[in-house]
Amino acid sequence: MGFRCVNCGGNILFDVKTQSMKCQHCGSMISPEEFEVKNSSTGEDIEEMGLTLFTCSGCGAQLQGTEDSQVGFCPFCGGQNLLRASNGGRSLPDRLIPFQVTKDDCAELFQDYTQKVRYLPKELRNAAHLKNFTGIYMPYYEYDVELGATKIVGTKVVESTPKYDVVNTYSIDAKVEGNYCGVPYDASKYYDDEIAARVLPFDMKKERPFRPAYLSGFYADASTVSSDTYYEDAALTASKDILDEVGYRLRRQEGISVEKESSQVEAHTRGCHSTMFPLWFLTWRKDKRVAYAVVNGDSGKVVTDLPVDLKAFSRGCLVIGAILFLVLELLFQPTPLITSMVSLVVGGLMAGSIRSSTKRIFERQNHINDKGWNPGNKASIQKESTVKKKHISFFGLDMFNIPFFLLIGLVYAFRVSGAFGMALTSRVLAAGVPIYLILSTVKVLKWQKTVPQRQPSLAIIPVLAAVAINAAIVFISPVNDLWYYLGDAVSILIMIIASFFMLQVYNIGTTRPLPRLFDREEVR
Amino acid sequence: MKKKILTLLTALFILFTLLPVSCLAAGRLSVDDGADLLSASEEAQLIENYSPITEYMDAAFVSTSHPSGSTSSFAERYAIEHYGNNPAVIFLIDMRNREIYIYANGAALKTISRADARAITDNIYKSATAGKYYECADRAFSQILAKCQGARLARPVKHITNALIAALVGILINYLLTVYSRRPRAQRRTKAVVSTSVTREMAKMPGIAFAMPIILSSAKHYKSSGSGGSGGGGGGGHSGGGGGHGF
Repeated sequence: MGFRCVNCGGNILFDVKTQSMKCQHCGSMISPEEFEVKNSSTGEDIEEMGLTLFTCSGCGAQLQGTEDSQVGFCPFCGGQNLLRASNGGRSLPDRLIPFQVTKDDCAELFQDYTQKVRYLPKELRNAAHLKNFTGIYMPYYEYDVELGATKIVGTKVVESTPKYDVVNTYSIDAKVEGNYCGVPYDASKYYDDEIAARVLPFDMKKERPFRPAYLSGFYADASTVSSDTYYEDAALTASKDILDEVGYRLRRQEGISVEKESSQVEAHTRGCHSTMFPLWFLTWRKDKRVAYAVVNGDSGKVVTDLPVDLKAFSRGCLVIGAILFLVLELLFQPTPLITSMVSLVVGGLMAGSIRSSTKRIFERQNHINDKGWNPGNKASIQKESTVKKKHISFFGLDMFNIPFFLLIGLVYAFRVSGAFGMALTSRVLAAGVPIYLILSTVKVLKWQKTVPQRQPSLAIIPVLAAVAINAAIVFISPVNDLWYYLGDAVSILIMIIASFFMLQVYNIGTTRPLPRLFDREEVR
Repeated sequence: MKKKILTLLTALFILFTLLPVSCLAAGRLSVDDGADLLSASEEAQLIENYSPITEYMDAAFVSTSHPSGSTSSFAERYAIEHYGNNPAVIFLIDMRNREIYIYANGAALKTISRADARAITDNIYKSATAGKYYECADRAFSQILAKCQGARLARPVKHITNALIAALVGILINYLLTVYSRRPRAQRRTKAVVSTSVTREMAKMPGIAFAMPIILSSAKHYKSSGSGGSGGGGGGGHSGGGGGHGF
């Protein structure tokens, strides 16, 4: 039945622009706090009156909301199957940050963010589709961390001459007064930890005591993760943040650089309170996979999965290929050996990309970095300290590809310096690239065992075969060009076919499995 | 006196007649068949057929069984030694390295580029493999002449290979650009409020007070020494280049 205006009985919804309850019929406005007081004076229970529990018959997701919320899509699976289940009002939080970003702002922010993204599926550029952004309050826990003894080790250059620097190493005791409050972790098992972390921060100054009236016109997910889950993570995050802050202040005040590896901050999580943060959710669904676009309802920060439209990508390949062909025709006389070397380098890059995408599929499919899904998974804590290293990537290629780039760089340097002739250059590549390919293939096949998709092996095994053909040709070095060109042509054709599987692997890696939430258990 | 002059002229005539062909003046097609691959009649035939090349540049057929170094370095040295910076084209058959090579010297490189040289040797290497050296030289010079006269060289595999490379590299470039366009990036401010971006600023940061730093150790870190200044510029160089093919 939803919330009703105390003046005319019309629908009353939370208005983001004015931050108050606005009657859709008479236009009268009232703050959520006052609205609750006025309704309480009539003797009606506002929670029972206003909130309804909806269940998605497609994926099993359960969301609280008001009757007026039933205009959106299920934010988890993108389906239009939200059914009214019962009255809501369960598992309500202590606090909440109201929406600050309107639906129109949210669509504009998303369009702005994705403006330069190539080959985005056309639905995600379609203004009508962007109207499906659904406002949802996501449950978070805010942990309070008590900080103890802080021992800092830092260094400072105290004397500098042209020949040497004198470096002092210091030990500094820091006294931290008070607790570190409000370290946020998401409390919904079905809300991916990766998105939950990336969509931060929220401005805690805007946090208010929870009032059901704020939910009017929006959905709210319930807590489905025990608050114990992130105790260690919160302490670790707090100590890292304090160390960052200490490092910043010491550098500014004393010119001392903190050595984080040698420094220690004692941190213990003492408690937490539940809160809700506002998010705009848009779900794109294809072939039993979903891609989420999430906009922070407070700051407007956009976090989104960005799949690739295969048809648009193919058209782009034709255009780039045609331009490249004209350039090559004008400037390049291919030799069999150079063609083989180009194939070897391209094969190595393809393998690196397939490997990186398969790793992402493996992690998402098995919720490796999602502690809310796997509460027993200590990996996320261990990985917390290396989270920055993990995200270092170059064109989607991760750290594993460094040996390959080193090989290419060294071979190129030796070739340019004249230390390597063309024959030796090609042989070093023909020996090194297949080794890298074999190692990548082994990893990909290992990860693929735990996921239902077969595209990773369909992509990497042909690349391995193509590179093997090239390597064989380089080592055999047949006098007759026919064999050379035939081998190169077969190898390149195989790689062209494999490249479309590579893109499929990338697409699977950027999307997520369709959620099945029928075993949902709420935490109170 | 007349006798002396006559004797001197005769001696000069004999000397010039017996001199190796490599010493011939510019504007000539010369044959320096060190590996003895052509018969005398074939040499004469080659000179007769392709003397029109000399309207554009010097030309030489060179064969060797004992080159010092690689085929390309031998061709370059030969060109410098015999033609300096004058435009010249050398077709070389290196029997030791089993390689044919075309080297364009000086301004001749504008007419016979490295790519042209590679294309010509690609087109003719099978004759060398079959031991038909005259046919090989004949085909080489006929294509060099055609190129001098403004014709286009036949490059049968170039188009197919370039098409395949363009397709493969095009897909890869497009893929990398696509992935790069999806990198996480800072958002431009819009009419919505974009707040601070680090965790510690949004959380309630406690007060921090520092005790006096205690020196644990002090050490000298020596800097690695840099190298000296840059050298001066060099003199004018020799230009030339070519391409070849094994047989």
